[in-house]
Amino acid sequence: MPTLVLRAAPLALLLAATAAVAVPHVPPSPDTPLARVPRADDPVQAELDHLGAALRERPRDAALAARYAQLAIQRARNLGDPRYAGQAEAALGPWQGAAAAPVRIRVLRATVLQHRHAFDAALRELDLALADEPGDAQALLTRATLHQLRGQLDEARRDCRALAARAPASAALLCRAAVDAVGGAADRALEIAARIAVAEPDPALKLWASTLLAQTLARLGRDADAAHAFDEAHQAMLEAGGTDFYLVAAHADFLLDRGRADGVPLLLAPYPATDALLLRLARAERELGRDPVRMRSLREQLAARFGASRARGDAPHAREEAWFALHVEADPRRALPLAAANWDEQREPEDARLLLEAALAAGNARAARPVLAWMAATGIQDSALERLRARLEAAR
Amino acid sequence: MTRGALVAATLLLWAPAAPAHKASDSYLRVAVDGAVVSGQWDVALRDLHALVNLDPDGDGIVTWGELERARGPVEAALGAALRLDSDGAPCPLAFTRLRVDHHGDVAHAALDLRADCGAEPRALGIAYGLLFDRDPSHRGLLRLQFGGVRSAVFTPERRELRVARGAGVALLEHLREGALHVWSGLDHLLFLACLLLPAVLRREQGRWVTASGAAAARDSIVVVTAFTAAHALTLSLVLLDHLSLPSRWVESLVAATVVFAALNNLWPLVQRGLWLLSAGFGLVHGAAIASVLAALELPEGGALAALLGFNLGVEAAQLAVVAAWLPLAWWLRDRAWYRAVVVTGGSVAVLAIALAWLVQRALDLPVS
Repeated sequence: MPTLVLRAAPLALLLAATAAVAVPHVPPSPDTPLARVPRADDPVQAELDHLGAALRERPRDAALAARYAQLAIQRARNLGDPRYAGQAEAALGPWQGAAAAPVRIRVLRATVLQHRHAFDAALRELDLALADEPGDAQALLTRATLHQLRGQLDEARRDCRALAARAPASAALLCRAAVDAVGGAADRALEIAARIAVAEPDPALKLWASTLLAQTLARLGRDADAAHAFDEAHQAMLEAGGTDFYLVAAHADFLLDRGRADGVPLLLAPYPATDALLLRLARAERELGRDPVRMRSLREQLAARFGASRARGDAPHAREEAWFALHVEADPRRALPLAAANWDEQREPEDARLLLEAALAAGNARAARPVLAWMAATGIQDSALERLRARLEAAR
Repeated sequence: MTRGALVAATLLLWAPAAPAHKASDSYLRVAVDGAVVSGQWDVALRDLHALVNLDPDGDGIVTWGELERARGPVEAALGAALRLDSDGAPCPLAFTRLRVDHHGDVAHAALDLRADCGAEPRALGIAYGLLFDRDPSHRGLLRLQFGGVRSAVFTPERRELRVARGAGVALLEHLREGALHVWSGLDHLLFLACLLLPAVLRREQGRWVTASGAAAARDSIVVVTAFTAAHALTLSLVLLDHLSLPSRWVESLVAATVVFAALNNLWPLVQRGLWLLSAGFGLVHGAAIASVLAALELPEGGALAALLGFNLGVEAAQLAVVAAWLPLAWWLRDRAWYRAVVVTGGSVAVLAIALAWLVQRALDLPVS
């Protein structure tokens, strides 16, 4: 698969090479390999280069810019490399802050903004797009996803309903099923996801359906079914021809929850070391406790990445930093405010769980209240969240 | 809408934002010594490859040999993206050595650079324009040694920096930090409020009577200065690593001092030598704030100027509070409600807040 060309070192290689010294040096030989770049025969990179060159001639060509941006965003997701998202943003730059912009450009801008956690700006962009073109399927789907990410399930359902008339049936059904899965109708979500996971010919939709299926089964505590569904979802990912970091991280979480930390390093070994995957690996190594040297190296790497992100002046990655503090550093006092700040930004089940766990570990049941209220309001069915709620109530 | 377009979009859109990877950063370290500016600039090979083809054989791997052979075009591309000037006059830039450096797990081309400005700059200008037109998420991380050491980040919105020489800069910057510390630290302001509420009054046989204006001003300034001097002493000792105290106890002690100051207004325990009390409390507050200020990162070589600046900032802001408060209090001093509502009521309110802190900090309750 051409899109599987890995630009970042896979986790397995990375760990072998972490001793790289931060001292300027002259490599021992002209043949010393230094970095991976896209191969000359990589067709996606060739198309990006081609479009990029055309775009430098005609930077205001909206169709060209949209094609370039879409390809670059896809690559950013597949490789976990934010450079491509930056390149997409550059291609969309001529329309930044413009009063009038094509709907497609606005949707792509929203996607880039979401990528760098500028959720409010992304929503504004989508609202503008849908004001121009109320039935635009991509805009509706993107906004539904964003609403769901922020825990606004009613708004997400509304967008999915509007989508039903405009998009392939599977896409609209999955849009709704994804909301139902966290909104108190998990059985209906399971039924739809299972059906589409089996019958859907389109690999991307099939991957979406099988990931949703596996995660929902895991939340319901149906472990054997979930384990099977995760394997199926991996198969769907291979068929779709890319890396889906969301799925891989969810699978690692599933193993960690079931006390299967020993399976995590093997699961993650083939993939580039994104922050999220490195965090899971560090938690697994901590629980296994078999290699203190490697553990220290992982902690240092993660701390260095958070430090580098702060040095850049990026918006803090509260979800990842809270996870790190809680599950890797075992420092709930530091994790709690981060998890609470993250809850103000992102409200998915894993964010809810992070705040409950941090509150419990820090012995501060009051901090968990917003999540408990959210659980009651959404009716989410999630055995891990329920267990945490019970423990918080017992601790009171 | 074709099905294909939408499906491609779903692949993009349904998954939550992909987590961050090592982003595109370059590291620029520069030192000014007399008329000469020298330093090292580290640019990720993957970023450089976007500007200069570093992989002519197309095998997807950049080797040291490939990098060395591309040195000319690399220097031209980087030279076009960085401009230095001394008080507006350009300092011609040359790259003197090419090596390799790692940041995180990412290989960077490390270029030594040197620019001769002709004369020692009073203000150094740096204009940075690498990659921004291709990738607005690129950042240039600058560490500049010019008198003191300072750091800055170049972004598409901020591509230029002008820095005046020296310790004076550190002093001025920290002067502001110090003043902000007074405005933003609630316990600091409450403590000051307690000392100043009855400043225009004095006790005689258990009753408040009006003090003279000159006496009020003098007493207030003495009290505030004693506080700052003591504060400066412990703050400096902690920041310079000569003293280390457990922060929980220090924080609790700070709350206790505010409680005491409020109580002292209601049931006077200490009436004379208030400045001694104030100095004692200053020692405690200084130790407390030092732990918070670990993030202040004292510049190497400019630590003393920075500390001096910080303390002068604290003092200036406190005196500003005194200057704003005293005339008002002086004007209100003879009204009965000033004593009942402002002095007594204010002290009770401060007491309540400080007691809550004391309990929270002493028992180590989490703040939510």
